[in-house]
Amino acid sequence: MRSVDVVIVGASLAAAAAAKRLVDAGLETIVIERKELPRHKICSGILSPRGHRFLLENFGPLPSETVHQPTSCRGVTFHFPSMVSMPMDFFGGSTPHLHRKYSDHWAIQRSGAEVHDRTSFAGLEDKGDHVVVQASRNGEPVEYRARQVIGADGPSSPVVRAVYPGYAKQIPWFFVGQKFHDIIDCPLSADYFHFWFHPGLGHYTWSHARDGRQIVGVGFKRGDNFARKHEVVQRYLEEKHGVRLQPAADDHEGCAENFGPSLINRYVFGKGNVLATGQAAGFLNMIGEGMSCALHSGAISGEAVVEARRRNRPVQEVYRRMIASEVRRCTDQWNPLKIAFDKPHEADFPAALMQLGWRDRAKVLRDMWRFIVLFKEFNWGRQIVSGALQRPVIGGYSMQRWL
Amino acid sequence: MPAFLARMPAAARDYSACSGCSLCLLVCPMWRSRHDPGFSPEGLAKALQCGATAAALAPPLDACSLCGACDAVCPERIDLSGMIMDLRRRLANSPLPDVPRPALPDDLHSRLQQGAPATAPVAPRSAPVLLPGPALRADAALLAQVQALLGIAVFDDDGDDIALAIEVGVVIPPLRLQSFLDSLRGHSIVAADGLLLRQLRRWLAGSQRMGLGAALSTRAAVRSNLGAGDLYVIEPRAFHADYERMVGFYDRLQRETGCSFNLDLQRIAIPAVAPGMAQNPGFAAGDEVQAKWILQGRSPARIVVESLADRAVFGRVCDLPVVHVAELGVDPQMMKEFRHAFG
Amino acid sequence: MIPRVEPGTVGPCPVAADALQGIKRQQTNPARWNGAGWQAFADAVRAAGVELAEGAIACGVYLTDAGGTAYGLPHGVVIARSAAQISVLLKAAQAHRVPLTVRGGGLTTEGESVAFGGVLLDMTGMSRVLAIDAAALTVRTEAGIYWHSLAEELRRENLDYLSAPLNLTSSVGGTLGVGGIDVNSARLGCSADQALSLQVVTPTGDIVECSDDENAELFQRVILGYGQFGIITEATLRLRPYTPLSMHYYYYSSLRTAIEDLQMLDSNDASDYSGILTIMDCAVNLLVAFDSGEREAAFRKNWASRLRGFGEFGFALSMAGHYALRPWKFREALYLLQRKREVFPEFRRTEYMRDGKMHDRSVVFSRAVWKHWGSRNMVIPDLATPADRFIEAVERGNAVCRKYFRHYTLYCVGIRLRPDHGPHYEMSCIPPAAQGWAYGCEFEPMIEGGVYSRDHFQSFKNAIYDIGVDLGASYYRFGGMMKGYIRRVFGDELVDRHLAMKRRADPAMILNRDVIF
Repeated sequence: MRSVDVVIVGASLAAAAAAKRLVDAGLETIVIERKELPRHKICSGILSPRGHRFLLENFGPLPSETVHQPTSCRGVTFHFPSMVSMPMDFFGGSTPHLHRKYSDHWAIQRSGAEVHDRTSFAGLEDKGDHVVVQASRNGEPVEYRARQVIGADGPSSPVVRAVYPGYAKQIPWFFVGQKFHDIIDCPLSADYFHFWFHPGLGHYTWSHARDGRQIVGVGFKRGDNFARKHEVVQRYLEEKHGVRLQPAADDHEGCAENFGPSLINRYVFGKGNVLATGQAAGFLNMIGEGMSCALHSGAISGEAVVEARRRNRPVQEVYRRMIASEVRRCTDQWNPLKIAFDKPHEADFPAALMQLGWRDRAKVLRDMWRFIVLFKEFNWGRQIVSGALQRPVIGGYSMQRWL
Repeated sequence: MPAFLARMPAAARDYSACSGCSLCLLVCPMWRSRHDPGFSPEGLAKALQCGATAAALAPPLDACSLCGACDAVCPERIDLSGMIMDLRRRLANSPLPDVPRPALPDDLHSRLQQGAPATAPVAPRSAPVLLPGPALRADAALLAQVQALLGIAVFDDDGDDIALAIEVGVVIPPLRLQSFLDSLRGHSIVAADGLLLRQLRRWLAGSQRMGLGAALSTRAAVRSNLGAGDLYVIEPRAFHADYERMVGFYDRLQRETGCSFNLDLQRIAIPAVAPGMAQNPGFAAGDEVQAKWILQGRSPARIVVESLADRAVFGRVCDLPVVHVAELGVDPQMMKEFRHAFG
Repeated sequence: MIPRVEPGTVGPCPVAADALQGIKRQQTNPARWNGAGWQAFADAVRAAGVELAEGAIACGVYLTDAGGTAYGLPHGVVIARSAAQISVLLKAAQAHRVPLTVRGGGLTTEGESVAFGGVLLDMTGMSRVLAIDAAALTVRTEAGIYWHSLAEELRRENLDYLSAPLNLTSSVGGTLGVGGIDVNSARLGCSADQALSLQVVTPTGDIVECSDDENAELFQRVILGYGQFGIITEATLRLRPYTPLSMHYYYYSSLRTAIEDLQMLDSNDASDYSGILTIMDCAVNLLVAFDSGEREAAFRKNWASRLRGFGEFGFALSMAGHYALRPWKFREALYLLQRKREVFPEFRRTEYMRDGKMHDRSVVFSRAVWKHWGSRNMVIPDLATPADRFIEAVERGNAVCRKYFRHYTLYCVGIRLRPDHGPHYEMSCIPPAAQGWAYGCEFEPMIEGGVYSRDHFQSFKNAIYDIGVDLGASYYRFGGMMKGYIRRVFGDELVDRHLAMKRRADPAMILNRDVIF
């Protein structure tokens, strides 16, 4: 059994950030990844500027193969059923359109950690002063012994399931899928990420250009039909926006996503010597960008391990105190009071709204409300309001609600 | 001041609180002689933060003289000498074959097991008692002077086995410690051994305790014989064991008499001798760097010491008259000799 | 597939020219050096008699700096013992291309004294004072010495250095390399200005004596040079006779007024020491102090009445009135009272006072700083600006502090510029546009036992540093001249010129390579 300081499960951006902090502090770190690297990753790839800065500061300038065409994205355009469109540029300029297959591989290599790919996590046992991690490589069982384990293995995290077997059943799950189309004619600007606040299209509907094709993406509550949802969106784009696309290529893809935790401050940070981070912990910015908070929360999980060892404190306690700043930043983006009176996002929605005429402004607000009503069934309303109210009182969000 | 405005006095903290400010290096005789951060309280704390074992830290642990200066300057209020004593205990109790250990006096364990012979109490409870320690005991004339000055009885069981056990990290049998503390309870205590004094402060909270030097220098006879030409060498362990109080005490002594002290700019006592543990049980000669540093740039007419070990080292490094503070109070000949010298 | 990034180069950006506007494409939190050639290097220096310690414990002591946000583990550690030893080390490092990071007191805040692999040279091993010339008022000392240790030696001769950071454990060499300010800097300049000559070991291992007259170019680059052009092993410094201080405190409720008064005092040479320390936005302390009775009397006669601050009692009354009318701000009032109760006595401890004068100011200040502001994270971003842009810089920085932390302190001080030291100041903490005086402000959050992520601190610091880019400021004191900002502040042309000099002086780019280039 290989004995190391820390095992990180997953070779994502969160893992790379955690590994960077651990390796810098001289801790022997192994990253285990189910697939062979570089591996494909389903993602829109539009990183926020904050995430870009983190990558630059910690891993260096991005090599050209880590970005798709167009290499950057200027901002987000919101579209509403009333046919009002609001383009908003990111603060601080354009932001990269990451090719996750190569960007993740580059980051994990730059972190300096030892990577064991084709090694899938199978389970763990927390023994108090160390954790035994079971995994399998090419069908052969392998075991690791680590002082701490960091689960950076995405939304349906096997590590979180190993620690909290019931967790996955407690939160609503969404399916997010994207199809790739060759373009006949597309009036949607290739410089922007397009998002539809349209209850008829789905919970999460977007489109943007990539490598000469157009992505049409849909998100909906698990159980619905991808092909049908996609067809509705494609038809809508054609009718309302004049987007003419070839039938989708057969490389469509999709994955499960957890929108809820950051919205209602219901993160899961692990137990004992096992930490969950990134989207496994529930971090997701508004408009579904999870990479920048994955990078930051991943780094914090690494910092917490280093700090806990040096200060001789339980790692969960340290992690939870340190992660509070990232929780604030992420949950603020969903907090209606923050959205109304502050600038929690990396683009200026209030300013864009004020640029519209008062008629359009009213339409936008009405359409947004109708869109929000779509989420009524999850009963998040009261939790969001109580979170928004506690924010100014305690200067953050309650740690009691975290798992 | 209302109580809610006053912060609770923070409890002593451990190595994990060390933030690496290096203030302890500035006052550490170990660091001063080596200029190697590994030989400093900070170096030890940082090494522990990196997971070091006591055995890996044996050289600095043995080199430390437990002068206690670091405790007084640590802004994080870490009990650094407590940390070092604790590590020495760990080292002593789990000896590794490849870590050479200094030899201890053969009879220490048996003395600790037997305890002091039971005798009739020397003084009624509440009367002050003197714990002179072996060096002062060996100097009968000086001991008599001390007693005469302080008007105090010598306590039969002065706990020198306990003091040595604290220093070298030997575990004190609870029975021995209990009987020692029971016999002391209720007395006000004057102790020559600063390390013992430090521990008594914890063990007998609320009791009256004082270091020998400070006790002697409260006497009018002593004070009247101190003057601007005197370099008064404070015994560091007792001084740092009760730093906040002692720094004020000696400051007043300085204002009153004009003497100077072996204090640095931070008002930390510079030890004149800083022998590590290896030499300590036998009180062999340490090096003289510290004493020379105390004297550098100063030209006192006389050196007054609180500790007998200091008298020996100053006798070696300079040809100034060196007197023990007890000798100031009672020797009429000396008084006559120096009175004119100091005006 | 990982392209090698040469130290000092700014990589191409495949993303977009306008991405991260203004921010240079440089990794500021360096990757660990890959260790190529380490063993051969270690064997070579050991064969030459240099003691090289390896292992987690020996190296772990140097894991981070006072800032506590950058972590890095060297492959090995050498404690400096002599210029000859350092020369051997540098020659071997140059030959084997092993990065070498120099550390003095380790009081940097951006990881400048953290080794991201390679060898760490701990200069505090060279801590002896070599010669004091009381007649010429100079001292020759090894450069690893802490200012406090130097002060201890000088005081035995009744002498004092001109100015040094208010921090006992900053080292002489480190300070000369980055700047250093004191409450007397408005009169006596930054601490690096007092250096008369230096012994430097160049990156290629030559031992060179330099001053404004001898090897002047090297001297100008090494002073305020962020350790790029050589390791300072010995320094000759100017001294002055030691004097105790008589202190006066004035209290203001407006930062702007206090700064105006500070600048008025400085430009009229009305005091020997001056500085501003804030407790809260509405409680600002202007400190004025004097070396002599005559200077103090002249101040009382000519300037005291022109200051708009209150005395302690008057200010207490005005604050009492302020909070009586605003009872909902009781928490602020309690904080003020608590700070007053904890910090004020620290500056008036009787053992440091004689006849109303303060002795050993650096000890008093430094102990207070560590006790009440220190923590494992010395997060103290700062700005140094020309006098006329100072108020704006302070007010903008103050707004940033308010956003990130509940309580914080600002410390402002003037820095008198030496006209003849122009060449020393190029690309340094001294803002290029400053004339006569530069002004510095440091922004110190009160961590108060809180736990923050490194990103929280880094975003706070970036927000402060960004103000500097905007205002054409520079950064002083702890050497917060982080790599990510130097090109933004000084422009590519100047930085590339220095980089070319650096490449000539240090062909393998091994000495302190992750600090600014």
